[in-house]
Amino acid sequence: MAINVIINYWAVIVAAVVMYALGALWYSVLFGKAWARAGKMTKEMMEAAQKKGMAWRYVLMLVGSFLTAYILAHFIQYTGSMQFTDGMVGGFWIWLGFYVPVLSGQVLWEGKPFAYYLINVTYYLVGLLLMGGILAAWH
Amino acid sequence: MESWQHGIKMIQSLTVNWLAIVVAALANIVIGALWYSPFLFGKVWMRASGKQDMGKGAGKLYLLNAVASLLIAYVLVHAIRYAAGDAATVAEGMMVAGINWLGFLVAGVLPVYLFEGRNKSLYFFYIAYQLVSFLVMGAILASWK
Repeated sequence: MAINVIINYWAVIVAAVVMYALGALWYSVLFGKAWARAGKMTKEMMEAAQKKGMAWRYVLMLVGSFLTAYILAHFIQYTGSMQFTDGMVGGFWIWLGFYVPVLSGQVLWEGKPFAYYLINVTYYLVGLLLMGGILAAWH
Repeated sequence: MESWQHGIKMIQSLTVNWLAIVVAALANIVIGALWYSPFLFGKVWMRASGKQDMGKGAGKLYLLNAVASLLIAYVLVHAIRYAAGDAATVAEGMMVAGINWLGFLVAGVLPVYLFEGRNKSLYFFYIAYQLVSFLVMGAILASWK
């Protein structure tokens, strides 16, 4: 890569944990019920998933959050963002360019209701705004 | 407010080649159409998703899909230019695209599918399609200034 940036790994860890914790809140106390309803998930489906074991899913999600935070940190540094609000702008663009179009496929092609998309996509919006802000302000 | 405006200005300060963005978006659409056609994985996808056809309003779906592809190409060219500068090579463009795919698509779409408790093959078809598509878009956007 042509340009080298210095990554603050503490900021990456904190940003990843924030994203992960937000997800845990978002899909339980905040919108857990609405999400299950919109995704047409029955109690039986949830219980079957519980039986198969959920632990590996949470581990995988945590790994995913680190990956996202680490790569977002590079984008934020490349754009030269130093302030929380600048980082939020960077996070917003990544959200608009990747999460909004990619998640829309579930509504367009897989017949998921719009409400389901809305719950997922707003989670990523809040998550990326927070991560972008943290990664820019704490560089 | 001032820093917010600075942020907006900063992100728009790149000069982008709109024709390259349109062509990259077209590549995304064409690869997707091929990927989900009966020639490649269309039949497997229909079995996995339980859907038979697109039904009514397919025209609107394709239009929205085109908007989605344009959004991806527009942000991807920024990611490439910010990371590798104006002299980005094809290899660098593909690398940045691949890294963005890993950080935002693989990790981003994963939980959505993980917690749905349904056929995981839908996720793999999709994510593999986007990998091929991102690499092609990265090559186009990096080389076509």
